[in-house]
Amino acid sequence: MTLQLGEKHFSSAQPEAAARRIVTFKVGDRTFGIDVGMVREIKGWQATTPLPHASAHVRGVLNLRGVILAVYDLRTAIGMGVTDATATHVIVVVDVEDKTAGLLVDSVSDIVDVPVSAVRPAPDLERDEHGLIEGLVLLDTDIVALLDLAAVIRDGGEIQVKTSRAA
Amino acid sequence: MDPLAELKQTFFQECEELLGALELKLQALEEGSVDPEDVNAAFRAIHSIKGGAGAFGCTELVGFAHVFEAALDHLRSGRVAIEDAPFSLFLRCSDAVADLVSAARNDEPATERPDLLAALAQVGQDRVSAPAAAAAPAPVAAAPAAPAKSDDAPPGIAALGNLLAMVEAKAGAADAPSTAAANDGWDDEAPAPAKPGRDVTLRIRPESDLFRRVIEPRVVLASLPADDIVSIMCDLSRVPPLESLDVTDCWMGFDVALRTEMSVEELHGLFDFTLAAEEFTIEQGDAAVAAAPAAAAQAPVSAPQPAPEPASTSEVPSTVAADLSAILAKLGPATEAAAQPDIQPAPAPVTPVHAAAVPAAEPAAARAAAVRAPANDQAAARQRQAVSVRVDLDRIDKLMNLVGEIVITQSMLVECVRSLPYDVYAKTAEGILTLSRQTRELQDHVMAVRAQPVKAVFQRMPRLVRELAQTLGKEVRLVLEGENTEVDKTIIEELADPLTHMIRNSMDHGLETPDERVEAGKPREGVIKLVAEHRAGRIVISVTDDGRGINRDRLLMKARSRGLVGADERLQPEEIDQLIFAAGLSTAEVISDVSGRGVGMDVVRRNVESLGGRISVDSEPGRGCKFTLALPLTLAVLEGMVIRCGDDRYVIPIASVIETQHLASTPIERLPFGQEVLRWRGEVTPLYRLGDVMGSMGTTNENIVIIAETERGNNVGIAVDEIVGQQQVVVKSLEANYGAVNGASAATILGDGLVALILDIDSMLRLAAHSERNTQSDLKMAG
Repeated sequence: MTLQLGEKHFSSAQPEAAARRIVTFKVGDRTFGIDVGMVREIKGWQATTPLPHASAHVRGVLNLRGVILAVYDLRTAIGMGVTDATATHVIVVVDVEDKTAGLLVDSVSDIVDVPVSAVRPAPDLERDEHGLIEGLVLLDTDIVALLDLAAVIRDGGEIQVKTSRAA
Repeated sequence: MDPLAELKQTFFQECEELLGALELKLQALEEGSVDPEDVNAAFRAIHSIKGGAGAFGCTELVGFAHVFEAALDHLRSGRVAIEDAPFSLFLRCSDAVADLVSAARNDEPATERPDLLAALAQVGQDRVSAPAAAAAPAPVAAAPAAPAKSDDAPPGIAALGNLLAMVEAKAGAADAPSTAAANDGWDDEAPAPAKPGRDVTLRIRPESDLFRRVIEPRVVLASLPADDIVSIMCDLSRVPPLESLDVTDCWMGFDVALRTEMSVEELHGLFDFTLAAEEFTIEQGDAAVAAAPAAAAQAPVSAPQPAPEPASTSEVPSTVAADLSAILAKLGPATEAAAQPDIQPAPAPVTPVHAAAVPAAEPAAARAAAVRAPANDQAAARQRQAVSVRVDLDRIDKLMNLVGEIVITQSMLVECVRSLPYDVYAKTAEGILTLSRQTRELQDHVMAVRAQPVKAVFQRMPRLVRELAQTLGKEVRLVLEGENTEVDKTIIEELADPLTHMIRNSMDHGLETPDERVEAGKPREGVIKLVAEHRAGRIVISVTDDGRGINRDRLLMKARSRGLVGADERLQPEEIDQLIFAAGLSTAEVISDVSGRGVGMDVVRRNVESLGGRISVDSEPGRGCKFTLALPLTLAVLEGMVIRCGDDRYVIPIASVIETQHLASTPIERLPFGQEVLRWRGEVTPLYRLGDVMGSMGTTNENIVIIAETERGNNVGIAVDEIVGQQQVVVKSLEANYGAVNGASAATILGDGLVALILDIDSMLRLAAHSERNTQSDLKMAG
């Protein structure tokens, strides 16, 4: 299943030079975003195989056309419990550093162009102990939290050391 | 990459193979083989290296290889008995060639080895003079006045040069009266008979693969000194009819007439880079006009008897041997002049020549035979080359991946078919069965393409041991076993580093010096055994030495001082041994070049584990030490038993499964610390519940037990819910996009498209032990 994304900002001839094109998606009532360049594809929920003794937010692994990748539950990563995944849930397949990973979210909302100047640094949130939020963007109605994907998947692998970023 | 660089890379790859072959053959010869084929193979290897090196302008390599080749040729020609040959020198030379190759490969300045060169030249020197003198006592003794005509011979063949001069003088004097009218064929055409030098006829008959060796006739001819060329005739008689003509083959031959002052040896040198020794002959048409004007120069062209087999004498390897056979060709059979009555009007043979010719004729026959054999070998070698193709590993990998996808698709099909109505099902199932058999076959074949004997790595080790033995002043014998054990190419490549480290470690830390060994009542010579075998679906390679074993006290002391082991921690002897794999530990008293920086074994362990392998050590103080390395046979597919536990399915490599049975039929007991054990074939076997170990979801009613084998050969029982089936699975890396998973070596995709973990028994047991310890400490804290 591939979702048709709204393209309302695509019509403008060229995005400003200093603009970021961001894919936004929702977990509960919160909106998150990542650079569109990191997104490889978006697919519907698919059952995963759990991994023994992995971090809580690692949902397991799935087969994406012969490649095995791990799916991370964004809801769990931000401390909002475990997603009760159904067919309407979405896995955003992303390229992070040299790995491919899946991010389980509730739905994908939009693709938006935002000027770099509109990105504010993440406030020093004590609760974001893993440094998952890279910055914030104010859209008309929403606050979009830009994710540092590397931080989201960091604790998934073998080394389960809590690496809180320089706080 | 530009084409030349690509070719060069190919050349270096070939060099590695050739060097391997060279060393192997020399090794065999050193160990007492007297098989001439070994000598021929060694010669061919170095010759091919020289040829390629010439084409790519690696001058140092060419120079060295040339001298080496010449020395080996003495063996090939039987001039030096195989039993007497200095193979240890040759082995050191093959090491030197390897160094030159790697220097050329990395564009580094090459280290000169004048010592080895001198020693090699010596091989030629001593051995040549003796048989040459023996072969020609009669003509030398009979020569009344030998003119000093050795000026054209380099000092290395002085003996032959003298012989040549004497024989020429003798033959010339004897022939002169009757063949005064005879003329040289080239002199008729040569416009400049006054030019000093001798007439030489070059017959160039390249093998048909000349072009494919990236050599053009033009290049060959351009290497001749232009001023000396009298004429060049192209021989097109070998060109086949048009329908069977392959334009990539070379059919041309050339007859070049030269009047030159160059010696035969020097002429041979001109073609070193372009032509194989069998592809050209040099015939000295005549005694030099300038050198012996009074001696009726044209004389030797007379043929005292018809040539029995001209072709055989014209196939001569390019070394000093050429001189001898040139003389023989002249004295005895076979000059073209013999077949040309217009040049040779006086047919009457002259008896005096026989005096000189007869004693020399016997070695001529011997030479002809000796020369033919290698020529046949080369043809055979070329044939072998023709049936093998060099394929980029990347292409095989793509093929492999594709086959993997087919296997998955096929098992998906199998699942789909199950839901079909019966009548359709039967037919479809049959087709799918055939498909699966064919897929399996396809997979096996692709795997076979990638499989290689571990020999490729093992054969690098003798050199390592040789060099280390010298550096460390130890006497070591390396014993190789199971070199033909086949393993996937991907694994082969990963074996070299760990093996090198393991052998270094054994040589440096394990083995004692000869004196220490004698003191300990052992033979002076230490033994290192390198053994490869298949076990439990893995390749297990062990390095065993009969040295002093691990010094546990010192290792423990070091580990304590580095804080790796607590001061009051008590360790079992075996646990102490395993500390050798801890980072930053080295027990060598003196830090040496060889090992002892404490980066060896822990790096080895890390690398091996990243490949899904394991390394362990068993040591017996005073008796020796054994490192065991276990790696998967391939990183691509495995035969697996699919099992279910709770909601999850897993794959156990079939190779580690010994037996399955119902748990109910097996009495389970509990050891004091809670470990469950079962009696299996009279042995107490620990039992692990897969659901507990892997944290499987869903309720479990483990009523099947799988008896599996660990790498160390122990048996364990693993309790599971259900055995789903058995199938070949494509191994998919978990590390690529995630990371290592405890208890699993990799994952695979089952027929329904879902992922199943491939269990790794040893890693699972460690996981179990770990979680047990955690539970215990939890209990302690609670209590």
